[in-house]
Amino acid sequence: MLNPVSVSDPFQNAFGILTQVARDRGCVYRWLALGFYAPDEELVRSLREGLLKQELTQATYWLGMDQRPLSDCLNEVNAYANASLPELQAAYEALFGKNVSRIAARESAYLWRSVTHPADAAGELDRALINIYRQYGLKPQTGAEDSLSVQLEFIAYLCQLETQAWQAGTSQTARELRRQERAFLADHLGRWLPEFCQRVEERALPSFYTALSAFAFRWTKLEYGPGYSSLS
Amino acid sequence: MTKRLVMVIDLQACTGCNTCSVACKQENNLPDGVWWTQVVTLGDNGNDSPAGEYPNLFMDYLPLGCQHCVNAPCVEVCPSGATAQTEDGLVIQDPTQCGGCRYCMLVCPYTGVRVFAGETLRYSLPFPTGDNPMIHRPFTVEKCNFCAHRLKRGLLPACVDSCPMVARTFGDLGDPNSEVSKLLRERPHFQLLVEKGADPSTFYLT
Repeated sequence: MLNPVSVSDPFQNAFGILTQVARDRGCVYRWLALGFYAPDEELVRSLREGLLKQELTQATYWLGMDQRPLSDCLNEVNAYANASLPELQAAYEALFGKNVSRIAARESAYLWRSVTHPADAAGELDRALINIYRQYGLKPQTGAEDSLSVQLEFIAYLCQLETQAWQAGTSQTARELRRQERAFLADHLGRWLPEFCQRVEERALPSFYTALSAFAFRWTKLEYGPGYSSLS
Repeated sequence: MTKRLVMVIDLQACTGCNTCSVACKQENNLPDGVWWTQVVTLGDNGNDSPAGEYPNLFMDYLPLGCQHCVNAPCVEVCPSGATAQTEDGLVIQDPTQCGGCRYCMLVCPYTGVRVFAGETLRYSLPFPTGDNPMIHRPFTVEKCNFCAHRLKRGLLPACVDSCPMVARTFGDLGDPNSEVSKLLRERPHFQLLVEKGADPSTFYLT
C-alpha cells in the first residue's frame, strides 16, 4: 500500500526562509552601522572575540557563491581583531575627525554633484529624511539624520519590520517593506556610499575602517542590484 | 475548465542530447554561463556521469527548467512585481522590473532553475540571436518563460520545437482533447517534489 504524500504549504515555507533572510540582512546593516559609529569597548570586544566576523559570515550565507567577495573583505576586517581602542580611535579620527583631509560620512557632503545650491539642498535633505524616519516612528539625534550610521541603522530597522511581517505571514506588508528598503538605497544611501567608499580607499592608510568600507561597498552593491554606481 | 499551459516530458524518449538547452540559449540570446533549461543526469554528480558500479552502471536524464508552479512562492514574495503569473499559468520573470533581491531564488522549491546574472554579461557571438526581445541585465534573476514571446505568435517553445526525439509536448491541460491531456491520461507520470505543494506545470512521463 502506498503511503500518502504529506504536502507542505509552499507559501509558509517561503515565508519561513525569508524571515531568516530578512533577519540576516538586518544583522549586516546593524553591524555596519555599529562599525561606522565612533569606536567603543563593545566594538573592540566584538573584534577581538571574532563575533563580528562570525555573525557577518552567518548572515551572508544565503548569498551562496556571491558570499565569497564579502568573505574576502571580512578576512581583511578580521585582520584588525587585535586592534586596541586607542588604535581604532586614532584611525577613526584620522578619517572622520576634525582635520583638513577628513572624509565626510554624511549624505549632505556629496550633494554638490547633483544640485546648484548645496547649502539649501542640505536643509531639504534633512527635512526629507526626517519625514521618512517619522513615518516609522523614528527620530534620530538632531543633525545626524544624514549620517552613514543612522542611514544604515534605518535600513536595519526596516529589515526588522520585514522579518516580523514574513514571520506573521503578511506578505504584502513584507514586500512593501522590501521595496522601501530598496527605495531608501536608491534615493539616499546608495547614491553617495560608492563615492564615500572610494574616498576611503584612495585617501586612507589601511585600517579597520578601510576594510569595513570595502565590505560596505560590496554589500550595498549586492543589495542595490542593477544600476549601482561603479565608482570604485 | 481554466486554461493551464503545461509541459510534458517523456523521460523514455529523452536521450540527454541537450538540444533543448542549446535551442533555449539561442532563442533567448542567453549570456555565457546562463542556462534556462538544462538536462540533469540522474546518476552521479555532473553531466553524463553514470551511477552504480561497473558493470552495473545506469544513466538517466531529467530535463530541468522552471516548473511554472500553480502555487508559485516566487510570485508571492517578489517585491518588485518582476515575477508574475499569467492567466494561463505561465510564471513570467521580467528583468526590466527585477531589483535583484533574489527572493524568488531563495524560495523556489527547485534548485538550479533560476540564474542570477553576474556583474558582466558576456556573449560568445558578437550579435544577438533568437527572437526574444528581452534585454538581459546584470544583477537580475532570469529563468525560463516557456518562450512566452513565441506563444504569442502561435509558436511552441523553442525547446519543444527543437527536440529531435519529440520528448517534449506543450499544451493546455484545461482542454481534455489536447495532446498533453491525452498523454497524462494514458501514461504514468510524476511531478517533481510534489510534497512541496507548489503544483508544478511540468510533468514527466515514465
